[in-house]
Amino acid sequence: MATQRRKPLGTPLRPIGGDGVRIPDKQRLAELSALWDANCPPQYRGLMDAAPVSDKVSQSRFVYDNTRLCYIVRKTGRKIPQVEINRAFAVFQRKRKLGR
Amino acid sequence: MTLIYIANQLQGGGFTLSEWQSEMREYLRSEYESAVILSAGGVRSDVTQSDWGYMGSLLKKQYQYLDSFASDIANNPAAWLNGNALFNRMQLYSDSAYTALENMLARKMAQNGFTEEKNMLGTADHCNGCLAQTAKGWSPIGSLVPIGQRDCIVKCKCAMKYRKPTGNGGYAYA
Repeated sequence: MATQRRKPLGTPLRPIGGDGVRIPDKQRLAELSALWDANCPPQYRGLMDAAPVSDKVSQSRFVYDNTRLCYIVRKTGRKIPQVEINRAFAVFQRKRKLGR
Repeated sequence: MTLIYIANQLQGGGFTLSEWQSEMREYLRSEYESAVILSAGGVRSDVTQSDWGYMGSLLKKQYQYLDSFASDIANNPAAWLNGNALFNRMQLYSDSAYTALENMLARKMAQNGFTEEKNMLGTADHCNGCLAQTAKGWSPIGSLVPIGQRDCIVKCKCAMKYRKPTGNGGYAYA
Protein backbone atom coordinates (compact mmCIF):
# COMPACT_ATOMS: atom_id res chain seq x y z
CA MET A 1 0.00 0.00 0.00
CA ALA A 2 1.37 3.40 -0.98
CA THR A 3 1.97 5.82 1.86
CA GLN A 4 1.14 9.49 1.46
CA ARG A 5 4.26 11.55 0.96
CA ARG A 6 4.74 14.28 3.52
CA LYS A 7 4.76 17.72 1.96
CA PRO A 8 7.70 19.97 2.86
CA LEU A 9 6.72 22.69 5.35
CA GLY A 10 7.77 25.49 3.01
CA THR A 11 7.55 29.19 3.79
CA PRO A 12 4.68 31.35 5.06
CA LEU A 13 2.49 33.39 2.73
CA ARG A 14 3.21 37.05 2.26
CA PRO A 15 0.98 39.42 4.22
CA ILE A 16 -2.25 40.36 2.47
CA GLY A 17 -2.00 43.78 0.85
CA GLY A 18 -4.63 46.51 1.12
CA ASP A 19 -7.41 45.75 3.56
CA GLY A 20 -7.58 42.16 2.24
CA VAL A 21 -11.31 42.01 2.80
CA ARG A 22 -13.90 41.61 0.08
CA ILE A 23 -17.58 42.33 0.53
CA PRO A 24 -19.36 38.98 0.01
CA ASP A 25 -21.44 38.56 -3.15
CA LYS A 26 -24.81 36.79 -3.24
CA GLN A 27 -23.26 33.37 -3.71
CA ARG A 28 -20.93 33.88 -0.78
CA LEU A 29 -23.84 35.01 1.41
CA ALA A 30 -25.75 31.85 0.46
CA GLU A 31 -22.71 29.76 1.38
CA LEU A 32 -22.41 31.49 4.74
CA SER A 33 -26.08 30.91 5.44
CA ALA A 34 -25.64 27.20 4.58
CA LEU A 35 -22.54 27.06 6.80
CA TRP A 36 -24.56 28.46 9.67
CA ASP A 37 -27.40 25.99 9.15
CA ALA A 38 -24.96 23.07 9.07
CA ASN A 39 -23.27 23.98 12.36
CA CYS A 40 -25.74 25.89 14.53
CA PRO A 41 -28.10 24.31 17.09
CA PRO A 42 -31.12 22.91 15.15
CA GLN A 43 -33.63 25.40 16.56
CA TYR A 44 -31.68 28.28 15.02
CA ARG A 45 -31.50 26.93 11.47
CA GLY A 46 -32.68 29.63 9.12
CA LEU A 47 -31.69 32.46 11.47
CA MET A 48 -29.25 33.95 9.00
CA ASP A 49 -31.96 33.92 6.38
CA ALA A 50 -34.35 35.96 8.55
CA ALA A 51 -36.63 38.26 6.59
CA PRO A 52 -37.18 41.89 7.56
CA VAL A 53 -40.11 42.19 9.98
CA SER A 54 -42.03 44.21 7.37
CA ASP A 55 -41.92 41.31 4.90
CA LYS A 56 -45.29 39.58 5.24
CA VAL A 57 -44.82 37.36 2.18
CA SER A 58 -41.67 35.46 3.09
CA GLN A 59 -41.95 32.03 4.70
CA SER A 60 -38.71 32.34 6.65
CA ARG A 61 -38.66 30.84 10.16
CA PHE A 62 -37.31 34.08 11.62
CA VAL A 63 -37.78 37.76 11.07
CA TYR A 64 -35.48 40.58 12.11
CA ASP A 65 -36.83 43.75 13.69
CA ASN A 66 -34.50 46.51 12.63
CA THR A 67 -35.98 48.97 15.14
CA ARG A 68 -35.64 46.83 18.25
CA LEU A 69 -32.55 45.12 16.79
CA CYS A 70 -33.72 41.62 17.54
CA TYR A 71 -34.67 38.36 15.89
CA ILE A 72 -38.22 37.04 16.28
CA VAL A 73 -39.57 33.53 15.72
CA ARG A 74 -42.19 34.12 13.02
CA LYS A 75 -44.56 31.36 14.15
CA THR A 76 -44.77 32.27 17.82
CA GLY A 77 -43.72 35.92 17.83
CA ARG A 78 -41.11 35.15 20.48
CA LYS A 79 -38.32 37.69 20.63
CA ILE A 80 -34.95 35.93 20.84
CA PRO A 81 -32.74 37.52 23.49
CA GLN A 82 -29.26 38.49 22.34
CA VAL A 83 -27.77 36.12 24.91
CA GLU A 84 -29.37 33.22 23.03
CA ILE A 85 -27.83 34.36 19.77
CA ASN A 86 -24.44 34.51 21.46
CA ARG A 87 -24.82 30.99 22.81
CA ALA A 88 -25.89 29.70 19.39
CA PHE A 89 -22.84 31.36 17.86
CA ALA A 90 -20.60 29.69 20.45
CA VAL A 91 -22.09 26.28 19.54
CA PHE A 92 -21.60 27.08 15.84
CA GLN A 93 -17.96 27.86 16.55
CA ARG A 94 -17.39 24.70 18.59
CA LYS A 95 -18.88 22.50 15.88
CA ARG A 96 -16.76 24.17 13.24
CA LYS A 97 -13.67 23.55 15.35
CA LEU A 98 -14.27 19.94 16.22
CA GLY A 99 -16.96 18.70 13.85
CA ARG A 100 -19.25 17.83 16.76
CA MET B 1 -13.25 21.87 6.89
CA THR B 2 -12.96 21.81 10.69
CA LEU B 3 -10.24 23.58 12.60
CA ILE B 4 -8.90 20.32 13.99
CA TYR B 5 -8.66 18.91 10.46
CA ILE B 6 -6.64 21.93 9.36
CA ALA B 7 -4.30 21.41 12.34
CA ASN B 8 -3.94 17.70 11.64
CA GLN B 9 -3.17 18.32 7.99
CA LEU B 10 -0.28 20.60 8.85
CA GLN B 11 1.06 18.25 11.51
CA GLY B 12 0.66 15.20 9.27
CA GLY B 13 2.33 16.76 6.26
CA GLY B 14 -0.87 17.03 4.19
CA PHE B 15 -0.59 20.83 4.04
CA THR B 16 2.40 23.04 3.46
CA LEU B 17 2.67 26.04 5.74
CA SER B 18 1.29 28.35 3.08
CA GLU B 19 -1.66 26.01 2.43
CA TRP B 20 -2.37 25.91 6.15
CA GLN B 21 -2.19 29.69 6.36
CA SER B 22 -4.51 30.04 3.40
CA GLU B 23 -7.05 27.67 4.98
CA MET B 24 -6.80 29.53 8.27
CA ARG B 25 -7.45 32.85 6.57
CA GLU B 26 -10.53 31.44 4.87
CA TYR B 27 -11.72 29.85 8.12
CA LEU B 28 -11.35 33.13 10.01
CA ARG B 29 -12.94 35.12 7.23
CA SER B 30 -16.05 32.95 7.27
CA GLU B 31 -16.28 33.19 11.08
CA TYR B 32 -16.04 36.98 11.02
CA GLU B 33 -18.46 37.28 8.11
CA SER B 34 -20.93 35.09 9.98
CA ALA B 35 -20.56 37.30 13.04
CA VAL B 36 -21.19 40.53 11.15
CA ILE B 37 -24.21 39.07 9.35
CA LEU B 38 -25.70 37.80 12.62
CA SER B 39 -25.15 41.14 14.30
CA ALA B 40 -26.84 42.94 11.42
CA GLY B 41 -29.97 40.80 11.17
CA GLY B 42 -29.11 38.15 8.59
CA VAL B 43 -28.16 37.98 4.93
CA ARG B 44 -31.34 39.76 3.82
CA SER B 45 -30.65 42.77 6.02
CA ASP B 46 -28.67 45.72 4.90
CA VAL B 47 -25.21 45.02 6.17
CA THR B 48 -23.70 48.41 5.50
CA GLN B 49 -20.41 49.23 3.87
CA SER B 50 -19.38 50.59 7.23
CA ASP B 51 -20.22 47.25 8.93
CA TRP B 52 -18.07 45.36 6.42
CA GLY B 53 -15.32 47.91 6.85
CA TYR B 54 -15.40 47.53 10.60
CA MET B 55 -15.31 43.75 10.28
CA GLY B 56 -12.41 44.13 7.86
CA SER B 57 -10.40 46.12 10.36
CA LEU B 58 -10.91 43.43 13.01
CA LEU B 59 -10.13 40.62 10.58
CA LYS B 60 -7.02 42.31 9.27
CA LYS B 61 -5.64 42.38 12.78
CA GLN B 62 -6.20 38.62 13.05
CA TYR B 63 -4.49 38.07 9.68
CA GLN B 64 -1.47 39.93 11.04
CA TYR B 65 -1.40 37.73 14.15
CA LEU B 66 -1.76 34.71 11.89
CA ASP B 67 1.20 35.80 9.75
CA SER B 68 3.25 36.08 12.90
CA PHE B 69 2.07 32.62 14.00
CA ALA B 70 3.12 31.18 10.62
CA SER B 71 6.57 32.70 11.07
CA ASP B 72 6.81 31.13 14.54
CA ILE B 73 6.01 27.73 13.01
CA ALA B 74 8.55 28.19 10.21
CA ASN B 75 11.22 29.22 12.72
CA ASN B 76 10.62 26.37 15.14
CA PRO B 77 8.61 23.56 13.51
CA ALA B 78 9.41 21.05 16.25
CA ALA B 79 7.54 23.17 18.80
CA TRP B 80 4.35 23.21 16.75
CA LEU B 81 4.17 20.08 14.63
CA ASN B 82 3.86 17.71 17.58
CA GLY B 83 1.37 17.75 20.42
CA ASN B 84 -1.52 20.09 21.09
CA ALA B 85 0.21 23.47 21.06
CA LEU B 86 -0.69 24.13 17.41
CA PHE B 87 -4.42 23.41 17.80
CA ASN B 88 -4.61 25.24 21.12
CA ARG B 89 -3.20 28.39 19.58
CA MET B 90 -5.36 28.02 16.46
CA GLN B 91 -8.44 27.93 18.67
CA LEU B 92 -7.65 31.42 19.97
CA TYR B 93 -8.06 32.79 16.45
CA SER B 94 -11.44 31.16 16.12
CA ASP B 95 -12.47 32.35 19.59
CA SER B 96 -11.69 35.90 18.60
CA ALA B 97 -14.74 35.84 16.29
CA TYR B 98 -16.99 35.63 19.37
CA THR B 99 -15.49 38.81 20.77
CA ALA B 100 -15.81 40.34 17.30
CA LEU B 101 -19.54 39.52 17.33
CA GLU B 102 -19.86 41.34 20.65
CA ASN B 103 -17.86 44.32 19.36
CA MET B 104 -20.08 44.56 16.30
CA LEU B 105 -23.23 44.36 18.40
CA ALA B 106 -22.01 47.05 20.80
CA ARG B 107 -21.25 49.31 17.85
CA LYS B 108 -24.67 48.70 16.30
CA MET B 109 -26.50 49.31 19.57
CA ALA B 110 -24.71 52.61 20.17
CA GLN B 111 -25.49 53.69 16.59
CA ASN B 112 -29.17 52.94 17.18
CA GLY B 113 -29.64 54.95 20.33
CA PHE B 114 -29.12 52.32 23.01
CA THR B 115 -27.60 54.05 25.99
CA GLU B 116 -26.88 51.40 28.61
CA GLU B 117 -25.17 48.03 28.74
CA LYS B 118 -24.94 45.24 31.27
CA ASN B 119 -22.59 42.26 31.36
CA MET B 120 -24.12 38.80 31.51
CA LEU B 121 -21.83 35.97 32.59
CA GLY B 122 -21.61 33.08 30.15
CA THR B 123 -21.61 29.36 30.85
CA ALA B 124 -17.92 29.06 31.76
CA ASP B 125 -15.49 29.69 34.57
CA HIS B 126 -15.41 33.41 35.13
CA CYS B 127 -12.31 35.58 35.31
CA ASN B 128 -12.04 38.40 37.84
CA GLY B 129 -12.45 40.94 35.06
CA CYS B 130 -15.80 39.52 33.98
CA LEU B 131 -17.02 39.28 37.58
CA ALA B 132 -16.05 42.92 38.16
CA GLN B 133 -17.87 44.11 35.01
CA THR B 134 -20.96 42.12 35.94
CA ALA B 135 -21.02 43.64 39.43
CA LYS B 136 -21.40 47.11 37.89
CA GLY B 137 -24.90 46.28 36.62
CA TRP B 138 -26.48 48.66 34.10
CA SER B 139 -23.86 51.19 33.00
CA PRO B 140 -23.54 53.85 30.28
CA ILE B 141 -22.84 52.18 26.93
CA GLY B 142 -19.13 51.96 26.22
CA SER B 143 -18.15 52.29 29.88
CA LEU B 144 -17.68 48.58 30.65
CA VAL B 145 -14.46 46.87 29.64
CA PRO B 146 -15.33 45.22 26.32
CA ILE B 147 -15.56 41.47 25.95
CA GLY B 148 -12.21 40.23 24.70
CA GLN B 149 -10.22 42.83 26.67
CA ARG B 150 -10.58 41.32 30.15
CA ASP B 151 -8.40 38.76 31.95
CA CYS B 152 -9.83 35.86 29.94
CA ILE B 153 -9.17 37.71 26.65
CA VAL B 154 -10.73 35.86 23.69
CA LYS B 155 -11.82 32.93 25.85
CA CYS B 156 -14.67 35.05 27.19
CA LYS B 157 -18.18 33.64 26.90
CA CYS B 158 -20.02 36.58 28.44
CA ALA B 159 -22.65 38.55 26.56
CA MET B 160 -23.90 42.11 26.85
CA LYS B 161 -27.47 43.29 27.26
CA TYR B 162 -28.52 46.71 25.99
CA ARG B 163 -31.36 49.09 26.74
CA LYS B 164 -32.53 52.62 26.02
CA PRO B 165 -35.13 54.80 27.72
CA THR B 166 -38.55 54.85 26.07
CA GLY B 167 -39.48 58.31 27.35
CA ASN B 168 -42.26 57.16 29.66
CA GLY B 169 -39.99 56.05 32.45
CA GLY B 170 -39.44 52.58 31.02
CA TYR B 171 -36.78 50.97 28.89
CA ALA B 172 -36.65 49.20 25.54
CA TYR B 173 -34.35 46.19 25.62
CA ALA B 174 -32.43 44.75 22.65
